[in-house]
Amino acid sequence: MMMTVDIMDETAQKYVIKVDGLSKRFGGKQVLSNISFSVDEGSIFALIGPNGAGKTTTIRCITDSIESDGGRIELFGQSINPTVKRNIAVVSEDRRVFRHFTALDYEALWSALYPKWDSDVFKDFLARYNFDLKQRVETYSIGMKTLFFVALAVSSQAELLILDEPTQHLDPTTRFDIMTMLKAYAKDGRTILISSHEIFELEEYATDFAIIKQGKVIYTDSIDDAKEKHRIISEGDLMSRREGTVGIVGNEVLVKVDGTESSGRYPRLNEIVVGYLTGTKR
Amino acid sequence: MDRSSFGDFEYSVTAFNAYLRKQFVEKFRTLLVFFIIMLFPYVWAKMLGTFFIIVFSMGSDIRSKKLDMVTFLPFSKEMIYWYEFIFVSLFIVLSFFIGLPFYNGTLLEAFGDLLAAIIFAAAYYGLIVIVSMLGMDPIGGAFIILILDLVFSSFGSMQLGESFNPYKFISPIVQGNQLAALVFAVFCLYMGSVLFSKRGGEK
Repeated sequence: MMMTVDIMDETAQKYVIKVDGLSKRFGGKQVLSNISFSVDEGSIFALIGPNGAGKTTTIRCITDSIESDGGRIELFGQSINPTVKRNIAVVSEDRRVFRHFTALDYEALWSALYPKWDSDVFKDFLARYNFDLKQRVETYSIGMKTLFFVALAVSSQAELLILDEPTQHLDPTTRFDIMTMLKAYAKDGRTILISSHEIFELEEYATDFAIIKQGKVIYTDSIDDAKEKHRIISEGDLMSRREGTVGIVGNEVLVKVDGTESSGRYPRLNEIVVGYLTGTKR
Repeated sequence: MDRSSFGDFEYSVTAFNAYLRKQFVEKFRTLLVFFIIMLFPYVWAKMLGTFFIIVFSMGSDIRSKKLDMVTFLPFSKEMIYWYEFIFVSLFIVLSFFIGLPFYNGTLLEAFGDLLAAIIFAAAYYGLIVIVSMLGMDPIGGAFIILILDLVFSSFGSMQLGESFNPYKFISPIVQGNQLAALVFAVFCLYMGSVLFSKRGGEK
Protein backbone atom coordinates (compact mmCIF):
# COMPACT_ATOMS: atom_id res chain seq x y z
CA MET A 1 0.00 0.00 0.00
CA MET A 2 2.84 2.39 0.92
CA MET A 3 4.46 1.69 -2.43
CA THR A 4 1.25 2.71 -4.24
CA VAL A 5 1.09 6.00 -2.35
CA ASP A 6 4.72 6.78 -3.14
CA ILE A 7 4.21 6.11 -6.81
CA MET A 8 1.10 8.32 -6.82
CA ASP A 9 3.01 11.15 -5.13
CA GLU A 10 5.79 10.85 -7.65
CA THR A 11 3.28 11.05 -10.51
CA ALA A 12 1.58 14.06 -8.94
CA GLN A 13 4.85 15.94 -8.61
CA LYS A 14 5.74 15.40 -12.25
CA TYR A 15 3.62 18.39 -13.12
CA VAL A 16 4.83 21.79 -12.07
CA ILE A 17 1.52 23.31 -13.19
CA LYS A 18 -1.73 21.42 -13.49
CA VAL A 19 -4.78 23.39 -14.60
CA ASP A 20 -8.04 21.50 -14.64
CA GLY A 21 -11.38 22.88 -15.82
CA LEU A 22 -10.47 26.53 -15.21
CA SER A 23 -13.20 29.04 -15.93
CA LYS A 24 -13.47 32.77 -15.48
CA ARG A 25 -16.08 35.36 -16.31
CA PHE A 26 -15.69 39.15 -16.28
CA GLY A 27 -19.12 40.74 -16.04
CA GLY A 28 -21.19 39.00 -18.67
CA LYS A 29 -18.23 37.82 -20.73
CA GLN A 30 -16.97 34.25 -20.37
CA VAL A 31 -13.21 34.73 -20.76
CA LEU A 32 -12.06 31.22 -19.84
CA SER A 33 -14.14 28.12 -20.34
CA ASN A 34 -12.96 24.78 -18.98
CA ILE A 35 -9.23 25.37 -19.57
CA SER A 36 -7.13 22.30 -18.85
CA PHE A 37 -3.43 21.66 -19.43
CA SER A 38 -0.39 20.55 -17.50
CA VAL A 39 3.22 21.66 -17.58
CA ASP A 40 5.98 19.12 -16.98
CA GLU A 41 9.03 19.81 -14.89
CA GLY A 42 11.94 21.04 -17.02
CA SER A 43 9.78 22.01 -19.97
CA ILE A 44 9.29 25.32 -21.74
CA PHE A 45 5.56 25.44 -22.21
CA ALA A 46 4.04 28.00 -24.58
CA LEU A 47 0.51 29.33 -24.34
CA ILE A 48 -0.36 30.37 -27.86
CA GLY A 49 -3.42 32.16 -29.10
CA PRO A 50 -4.78 35.34 -30.61
CA ASN A 51 -5.30 38.57 -28.66
CA GLY A 52 -8.12 38.22 -26.17
CA ALA A 53 -8.01 34.42 -26.23
CA GLY A 54 -7.50 34.26 -22.46
CA LYS A 55 -3.75 33.67 -22.13
CA THR A 56 -3.10 36.54 -19.72
CA THR A 57 -6.24 35.78 -17.71
CA THR A 58 -5.02 32.18 -17.38
CA ILE A 59 -1.69 33.46 -16.08
CA ARG A 60 -3.43 35.83 -13.64
CA CYS A 61 -5.48 32.90 -12.31
CA ILE A 62 -2.38 30.72 -11.98
CA THR A 63 -0.58 33.42 -9.97
CA ASP A 64 -3.72 34.00 -7.87
CA SER A 65 -3.93 37.64 -8.95
CA ILE A 66 -7.57 36.98 -9.69
CA GLU A 67 -9.91 34.31 -8.41
CA SER A 68 -11.15 31.75 -10.90
CA ASP A 69 -14.86 30.98 -11.00
CA GLY A 70 -14.30 27.26 -11.30
CA GLY A 71 -11.69 24.60 -11.81
CA ARG A 72 -8.52 23.69 -10.01
CA ILE A 73 -4.93 24.90 -10.24
CA GLU A 74 -2.01 23.04 -8.70
CA LEU A 75 1.52 24.37 -8.57
CA PHE A 76 4.22 21.94 -7.51
CA GLY A 77 1.44 19.59 -6.44
CA GLN A 78 -0.32 22.05 -4.14
CA SER A 79 -2.62 25.04 -4.32
CA ILE A 80 -0.95 28.42 -4.40
CA ASN A 81 0.41 29.93 -1.19
CA PRO A 82 3.29 32.30 -0.34
CA THR A 83 5.75 29.43 0.06
CA VAL A 84 4.93 28.14 -3.42
CA LYS A 85 5.02 31.68 -4.80
CA ARG A 86 8.63 32.08 -3.69
CA ASN A 87 9.42 29.52 -6.37
CA ILE A 88 7.62 31.43 -9.09
CA ALA A 89 8.87 34.56 -10.86
CA VAL A 90 6.52 36.42 -13.17
CA VAL A 91 7.05 38.88 -16.00
CA SER A 92 3.71 40.50 -16.72
CA GLU A 93 2.46 41.53 -20.11
CA ASP A 94 1.86 45.20 -19.40
CA ARG A 95 5.38 45.88 -18.04
CA ARG A 96 3.92 48.10 -15.34
CA VAL A 97 6.52 49.34 -12.91
CA PHE A 98 6.58 50.85 -9.46
CA ARG A 99 6.81 54.51 -10.40
CA HIS A 100 9.61 55.62 -8.13
CA PHE A 101 11.64 52.43 -8.20
CA THR A 102 15.18 52.39 -9.54
CA ALA A 103 16.85 49.16 -10.65
CA LEU A 104 18.51 49.11 -7.21
CA ASP A 105 15.12 49.28 -5.48
CA TYR A 106 13.90 46.38 -7.59
CA GLU A 107 16.99 44.38 -6.76
CA ALA A 108 16.44 45.02 -3.03
CA LEU A 109 12.79 43.94 -3.27
CA TRP A 110 13.33 40.81 -5.35
CA SER A 111 16.41 39.67 -3.46
CA ALA A 112 14.46 39.93 -0.20
CA LEU A 113 11.54 37.91 -1.53
CA TYR A 114 13.32 35.20 -3.54
CA PRO A 115 15.50 32.95 -1.39
CA LYS A 116 17.66 31.71 -4.28
CA TRP A 117 18.30 35.21 -5.70
CA ASP A 118 21.60 35.27 -7.62
CA SER A 119 23.04 38.79 -7.59
CA ASP A 120 25.91 37.76 -9.89
CA VAL A 121 23.45 36.81 -12.62
CA PHE A 122 21.65 40.12 -12.13
CA LYS A 123 24.83 42.21 -12.21
CA ASP A 124 26.10 40.40 -15.30
CA PHE A 125 22.82 41.07 -17.04
CA LEU A 126 22.79 44.75 -16.15
CA ALA A 127 26.40 45.22 -17.20
CA ARG A 128 25.87 43.41 -20.47
CA TYR A 129 22.95 45.60 -21.50
CA ASN A 130 24.22 48.86 -19.94
CA PHE A 131 21.48 49.41 -17.41
CA ASP A 132 21.86 52.37 -15.09
CA LEU A 133 21.14 51.06 -11.58
CA LYS A 134 20.15 54.48 -10.27
CA GLN A 135 17.78 55.31 -13.11
CA ARG A 136 14.06 54.98 -12.48
CA VAL A 137 12.81 51.90 -14.31
CA GLU A 138 9.76 53.86 -15.43
CA THR A 139 11.99 55.92 -17.70
CA TYR A 140 13.36 52.86 -19.54
CA SER A 141 12.12 52.20 -23.06
CA ILE A 142 9.52 49.41 -23.35
CA GLY A 143 12.19 47.06 -24.73
CA MET A 144 14.53 47.86 -21.83
CA LYS A 145 11.69 47.22 -19.39
CA THR A 146 11.10 43.81 -20.96
CA LEU A 147 14.77 43.00 -20.70
CA PHE A 148 14.95 44.29 -17.13
CA PHE A 149 12.03 42.15 -15.97
CA VAL A 150 13.44 39.07 -17.67
CA ALA A 151 16.71 39.83 -15.83
CA LEU A 152 14.84 39.95 -12.52
CA ALA A 153 13.01 36.72 -13.27
CA VAL A 154 16.13 34.81 -14.30
CA SER A 155 18.12 36.19 -11.34
CA SER A 156 15.42 35.00 -8.94
CA GLN A 157 16.50 31.43 -9.82
CA ALA A 158 12.88 30.45 -9.23
CA GLU A 159 11.86 26.90 -10.12
CA LEU A 160 9.09 28.25 -12.34
CA LEU A 161 9.20 31.32 -14.57
CA ILE A 162 5.95 32.67 -15.97
CA LEU A 163 6.76 35.04 -18.80
CA ASP A 164 4.19 37.00 -20.76
CA GLU A 165 5.69 37.98 -24.13
CA PRO A 166 9.33 37.84 -22.93
CA THR A 167 10.85 38.87 -26.26
CA GLN A 168 8.38 41.58 -27.20
CA HIS A 169 9.97 44.89 -28.29
CA LEU A 170 13.47 43.43 -28.31
CA ASP A 171 15.93 43.62 -31.19
CA PRO A 172 16.79 40.35 -33.00
CA THR A 173 20.18 39.89 -31.29
CA THR A 174 18.74 40.38 -27.83
CA ARG A 175 15.84 38.07 -28.66
CA PHE A 176 18.34 35.39 -29.58
CA ASP A 177 20.23 35.97 -26.31
CA ILE A 178 17.03 35.68 -24.29
CA MET A 179 15.96 32.49 -26.05
CA THR A 180 19.38 30.95 -25.46
CA MET A 181 19.27 31.97 -21.83
CA LEU A 182 15.79 30.53 -21.29
CA LYS A 183 16.78 27.25 -22.89
CA ALA A 184 19.77 27.02 -20.56
CA TYR A 185 17.54 27.91 -17.59
CA ALA A 186 15.13 25.07 -18.33
CA LYS A 187 17.98 22.63 -18.98
CA ASP A 188 18.80 22.81 -15.27
CA GLY A 189 15.42 21.17 -14.53
CA ARG A 190 13.52 24.38 -14.03
CA THR A 191 10.27 25.10 -15.80
CA ILE A 192 9.09 28.03 -17.91
CA LEU A 193 5.55 28.96 -18.91
CA ILE A 194 5.48 31.46 -21.75
CA SER A 195 2.62 33.32 -23.30
CA SER A 196 3.59 34.60 -26.71
CA HIS A 197 2.49 35.44 -30.22
CA GLU A 198 5.97 34.79 -31.59
CA ILE A 199 5.31 31.30 -32.94
CA PHE A 200 8.38 31.25 -35.17
CA GLU A 201 10.57 31.94 -32.13
CA LEU A 202 8.72 29.51 -29.90
CA GLU A 203 9.58 26.67 -32.25
CA GLU A 204 13.23 27.41 -31.50
CA TYR A 205 13.07 27.08 -27.76
CA ALA A 206 9.70 25.84 -26.47
CA THR A 207 9.15 22.13 -25.84
CA ASP A 208 5.39 21.97 -25.30
CA PHE A 209 2.44 24.16 -26.10
CA ALA A 210 -1.28 24.74 -25.76
CA ILE A 211 -3.38 26.63 -28.27
CA ILE A 212 -6.04 28.79 -26.65
CA LYS A 213 -8.93 30.13 -28.65
CA GLN A 214 -11.93 31.99 -27.22
CA GLY A 215 -11.13 30.88 -23.71
CA LYS A 216 -10.69 27.19 -24.51
CA VAL A 217 -7.65 25.00 -25.00
CA ILE A 218 -8.23 23.54 -28.45
CA TYR A 219 -4.98 21.57 -28.61
CA THR A 220 -2.08 20.79 -26.30
CA ASP A 221 0.93 18.56 -26.82
CA SER A 222 4.70 18.53 -26.99
CA ILE A 223 5.96 20.24 -30.14
CA ASP A 224 7.71 17.08 -31.34
CA ASP A 225 4.66 14.87 -30.79
CA ALA A 226 2.38 17.42 -32.43
CA LYS A 227 4.55 17.36 -35.54
CA GLU A 228 4.48 13.55 -35.55
CA LYS A 229 0.70 13.54 -35.31
CA HIS A 230 -0.01 15.99 -38.13
CA ARG A 231 0.72 16.46 -41.81
CA ILE A 232 0.37 19.28 -44.26
CA ILE A 233 -1.26 18.11 -47.47
CA SER A 234 -2.47 19.86 -50.60
CA GLU A 235 -6.16 20.55 -51.03
CA GLY A 236 -6.16 18.07 -53.94
CA ASP A 237 -5.02 15.25 -51.65
CA LEU A 238 -7.72 16.23 -49.21
CA MET A 239 -10.44 15.08 -51.57
CA SER A 240 -9.55 11.44 -50.90
CA ARG A 241 -9.71 11.89 -47.10
CA ARG A 242 -12.77 11.80 -44.91
CA GLU A 243 -11.33 12.24 -41.43
CA GLY A 244 -8.69 14.16 -39.57
CA THR A 245 -8.96 17.55 -41.23
CA VAL A 246 -7.93 20.19 -38.72
CA GLY A 247 -7.76 23.44 -40.65
CA ILE A 248 -6.63 25.40 -43.64
CA VAL A 249 -3.08 26.75 -43.76
CA GLY A 250 -2.73 29.05 -46.76
CA ASN A 251 -3.29 26.87 -49.82
CA GLU A 252 -2.73 23.67 -47.88
CA VAL A 253 -4.52 21.73 -45.19
CA LEU A 254 -3.42 20.53 -41.76
CA VAL A 255 -4.61 17.03 -41.01
CA LYS A 256 -4.29 14.86 -37.95
CA VAL A 257 -2.92 11.41 -38.73
CA ASP A 258 -2.17 8.14 -37.04
CA GLY A 259 1.43 6.95 -36.88
CA THR A 260 1.39 5.14 -40.22
CA GLU A 261 0.52 8.09 -42.46
CA SER A 262 2.99 8.64 -45.27
CA SER A 263 1.35 11.31 -47.40
CA GLY A 264 2.02 15.02 -47.01
CA ARG A 265 4.85 16.67 -45.13
CA TYR A 266 5.55 17.34 -41.50
CA PRO A 267 4.17 20.71 -40.38
CA ARG A 268 6.05 23.48 -38.63
CA LEU A 269 4.70 24.76 -35.31
CA ASN A 270 3.25 27.87 -36.90
CA GLU A 271 1.33 25.73 -39.38
CA ILE A 272 -0.13 23.61 -36.58
CA VAL A 273 -1.15 26.75 -34.71
CA VAL A 274 -2.66 28.42 -37.78
CA GLY A 275 -4.44 25.20 -38.73
CA TYR A 276 -6.08 24.90 -35.33
CA LEU A 277 -6.91 28.60 -35.04
CA THR A 278 -8.47 28.95 -38.47
CA GLY A 279 -10.19 25.57 -38.47
CA THR A 280 -11.77 24.75 -41.82
CA LYS A 281 -12.98 28.33 -42.38
CA ARG A 282 -11.50 30.24 -45.30
CA MET B 1 -7.04 34.38 8.89
CA ASP B 2 -5.51 31.30 7.31
CA ARG B 3 -1.91 30.87 8.43
CA SER B 4 -0.97 29.24 5.13
CA SER B 5 -1.85 32.56 3.46
CA PHE B 6 1.17 34.13 5.18
CA GLY B 7 3.78 31.38 4.85
CA ASP B 8 6.10 30.63 7.75
CA PHE B 9 6.77 33.26 10.40
CA GLU B 10 10.28 34.05 9.21
CA TYR B 11 9.04 34.66 5.68
CA SER B 12 6.10 36.74 6.93
CA VAL B 13 8.54 39.09 8.64
CA THR B 14 10.80 39.27 5.57
CA ALA B 15 7.84 39.87 3.28
CA PHE B 16 6.43 42.52 5.61
CA ASN B 17 9.74 44.39 5.63
CA ALA B 18 9.91 44.16 1.85
CA TYR B 19 6.33 45.41 1.52
CA LEU B 20 6.91 48.35 3.84
CA ARG B 21 10.07 49.29 2.00
CA LYS B 22 8.21 49.12 -1.30
CA GLN B 23 5.41 51.31 0.00
CA PHE B 24 7.73 53.89 1.50
CA VAL B 25 9.79 54.18 -1.71
CA GLU B 26 6.70 54.19 -3.89
CA LYS B 27 4.22 56.21 -1.85
CA PHE B 28 6.00 58.38 0.66
CA ARG B 29 6.34 61.40 -1.61
CA THR B 30 2.62 61.27 -2.39
CA LEU B 31 1.62 60.69 1.22
CA LEU B 32 4.04 63.13 2.85
CA VAL B 33 1.57 66.01 2.78
CA PHE B 34 -1.09 63.93 4.53
CA PHE B 35 1.45 62.76 7.04
CA ILE B 36 2.22 66.41 7.84
CA ILE B 37 -1.50 67.05 8.41
CA MET B 38 -1.52 64.07 10.77
CA LEU B 39 1.24 65.61 12.85
CA PHE B 40 -1.24 68.15 14.23
CA PRO B 41 -2.11 66.82 17.69
CA TYR B 42 -5.85 66.66 17.04
CA VAL B 43 -7.88 63.54 16.34
CA TRP B 44 -9.66 65.14 13.36
CA ALA B 45 -6.29 65.83 11.73
CA LYS B 46 -5.31 62.19 12.08
CA MET B 47 -8.67 61.06 10.67
CA LEU B 48 -8.39 63.43 7.71
CA GLY B 49 -4.82 62.38 6.96
CA THR B 50 -5.72 58.70 7.37
CA PHE B 51 -8.65 59.05 4.98
CA PHE B 52 -6.45 60.48 2.23
CA ILE B 53 -3.66 57.98 2.87
CA ILE B 54 -6.13 55.11 2.39
CA VAL B 55 -7.56 56.79 -0.71
CA PHE B 56 -4.19 57.47 -2.33
CA SER B 57 -2.60 54.19 -1.29
CA MET B 58 -4.88 51.13 -1.49
CA GLY B 59 -7.73 53.03 -3.19
CA SER B 60 -5.50 54.35 -5.92
CA ASP B 61 -3.78 50.95 -6.42
CA ILE B 62 -7.12 49.19 -6.87
CA ARG B 63 -8.39 51.90 -9.21
CA SER B 64 -5.31 51.85 -11.44
CA LYS B 65 -5.11 48.04 -11.30
CA LYS B 66 -1.61 48.23 -9.87
CA LEU B 67 -2.18 45.37 -7.45
CA ASP B 68 -1.16 42.84 -10.10
CA MET B 69 2.40 44.11 -9.72
CA VAL B 70 2.29 42.99 -6.09
CA THR B 71 0.24 39.83 -6.50
CA PHE B 72 2.73 38.58 -9.10
CA LEU B 73 5.37 38.74 -6.35
CA PRO B 74 5.43 36.21 -3.49
CA PHE B 75 2.64 37.93 -1.55
CA SER B 76 -0.78 36.42 -0.95
CA LYS B 77 -3.80 38.71 -1.17
CA GLU B 78 -4.26 38.32 2.60
CA MET B 79 -0.70 39.54 3.12
CA ILE B 80 -1.26 42.57 0.91
CA TYR B 81 -4.48 43.49 2.71
CA TRP B 82 -3.10 43.27 6.22
CA TYR B 83 0.34 44.68 5.42
CA GLU B 84 -1.36 47.68 3.83
CA PHE B 85 -3.49 48.20 6.92
CA ILE B 86 -0.40 48.05 9.11
CA PHE B 87 1.28 50.52 6.73
CA VAL B 88 -1.61 52.98 7.24
CA SER B 89 -1.60 52.36 11.00
CA LEU B 90 2.13 53.06 11.13
CA PHE B 91 1.50 56.55 9.78
CA ILE B 92 -1.01 57.13 12.57
CA VAL B 93 1.27 55.79 15.31
CA LEU B 94 4.33 57.60 13.96
CA SER B 95 2.49 60.92 13.71
CA PHE B 96 1.03 60.36 17.18
CA PHE B 97 4.41 59.97 18.84
CA ILE B 98 5.93 62.89 16.94
CA GLY B 99 2.98 65.11 17.87
CA LEU B 100 2.70 63.86 21.46
CA PRO B 101 4.93 66.56 23.07
CA PHE B 102 2.60 69.20 21.61
CA TYR B 103 -0.61 67.48 22.72
CA ASN B 104 -2.94 69.69 24.75
CA GLY B 105 -4.42 67.23 27.26
CA THR B 106 -3.63 64.29 29.50
CA LEU B 107 -1.68 61.26 28.33
CA LEU B 108 -4.83 59.15 28.69
CA GLU B 109 -6.75 61.50 26.42
CA ALA B 110 -3.90 61.38 23.93
CA PHE B 111 -4.00 57.58 23.77
CA GLY B 112 -7.81 57.78 23.54
CA ASP B 113 -7.38 59.91 20.41
CA LEU B 114 -4.85 57.43 19.04
CA LEU B 115 -7.37 54.63 19.52
CA ALA B 116 -10.08 56.76 17.86
CA ALA B 117 -7.81 57.34 14.85
CA ILE B 118 -7.05 53.63 14.55
CA ILE B 119 -10.77 52.76 14.82
CA PHE B 120 -11.45 55.29 12.07
CA ALA B 121 -8.64 53.81 9.92
CA ALA B 122 -9.92 50.24 10.39
CA ALA B 123 -13.51 51.13 9.53
CA TYR B 124 -12.69 53.28 6.51
CA TYR B 125 -10.02 50.92 5.18
CA GLY B 126 -12.46 48.00 5.39
CA LEU B 127 -15.37 49.98 3.93
CA ILE B 128 -13.33 51.41 1.04
CA VAL B 129 -12.07 47.93 0.13
CA ILE B 130 -15.61 46.52 0.43
CA VAL B 131 -17.14 49.10 -1.94
CA SER B 132 -14.22 48.64 -4.37
CA MET B 133 -14.66 44.88 -4.40
CA LEU B 134 -18.36 45.38 -5.04
CA GLY B 135 -17.48 47.23 -8.23
CA MET B 136 -17.55 50.86 -7.15
CA ASP B 137 -14.73 53.25 -7.94
CA PRO B 138 -12.56 53.19 -4.79
CA ILE B 139 -11.88 56.92 -4.69
CA GLY B 140 -15.46 57.93 -5.49
CA GLY B 141 -16.66 55.28 -3.07
CA ALA B 142 -14.42 56.63 -0.31
CA PHE B 143 -15.91 60.10 -0.62
CA ILE B 144 -19.45 58.69 -0.68
CA ILE B 145 -18.69 56.76 2.54
CA LEU B 146 -17.30 59.94 4.12
CA ILE B 147 -20.33 62.01 3.11
CA LEU B 148 -22.78 59.34 4.28
CA ASP B 149 -20.92 59.00 7.57
CA LEU B 150 -20.98 62.78 8.07
CA VAL B 151 -24.67 63.04 7.17
CA PHE B 152 -25.93 60.08 9.19
CA SER B 153 -23.95 61.04 12.25
CA SER B 154 -24.97 64.71 12.11
CA PHE B 155 -28.58 64.45 13.17
CA GLY B 156 -30.33 63.16 16.26
CA SER B 157 -28.79 62.38 19.60
CA MET B 158 -27.41 59.45 21.54
CA GLN B 159 -30.04 59.89 24.25
CA LEU B 160 -33.08 57.62 24.15
CA GLY B 161 -35.99 59.63 22.81
CA GLU B 162 -37.60 60.83 19.62
CA SER B 163 -34.37 61.97 18.03
CA PHE B 164 -32.38 58.91 19.11
CA ASN B 165 -29.81 58.03 16.44
CA PRO B 166 -27.99 54.74 17.21
CA TYR B 167 -25.67 55.22 14.25
CA LYS B 168 -23.81 57.85 16.26
CA PHE B 169 -22.51 55.09 18.52
CA ILE B 170 -20.73 53.26 15.74
CA SER B 171 -19.97 56.12 13.35
CA PRO B 172 -16.20 56.01 12.63
CA ILE B 173 -16.11 59.82 12.83
CA VAL B 174 -18.28 60.47 15.89
CA GLN B 175 -17.58 57.21 17.79
CA GLY B 176 -20.35 57.93 20.34
CA ASN B 177 -19.44 54.69 22.04
CA GLN B 178 -15.83 53.76 21.43
CA LEU B 179 -16.39 50.08 22.12
CA ALA B 180 -19.35 49.89 19.71
CA ALA B 181 -17.35 51.83 17.13
CA LEU B 182 -14.43 49.45 17.62
CA VAL B 183 -16.67 46.41 17.09
CA PHE B 184 -18.11 48.00 13.93
CA ALA B 185 -14.61 48.85 12.67
CA VAL B 186 -13.34 45.32 13.29
CA PHE B 187 -16.36 43.97 11.44
CA CYS B 188 -15.67 46.27 8.45
CA LEU B 189 -11.98 45.36 8.49
CA TYR B 190 -12.81 41.64 8.56
CA MET B 191 -15.38 41.87 5.76
CA GLY B 192 -12.89 43.84 3.68
CA SER B 193 -10.34 41.08 4.25
CA VAL B 194 -12.80 38.36 3.18
CA LEU B 195 -13.74 40.18 -0.02
CA PHE B 196 -10.19 41.23 -0.86
CA SER B 197 -8.92 37.67 -0.40
CA LYS B 198 -11.59 36.53 -2.81
CA ARG B 199 -11.27 39.20 -5.46
CA GLY B 200 -7.88 40.89 -4.96
CA GLY B 201 -7.17 43.59 -7.49
CA GLU B 202 -10.12 42.64 -9.62
CA LYS B 203 -12.78 45.31 -9.31
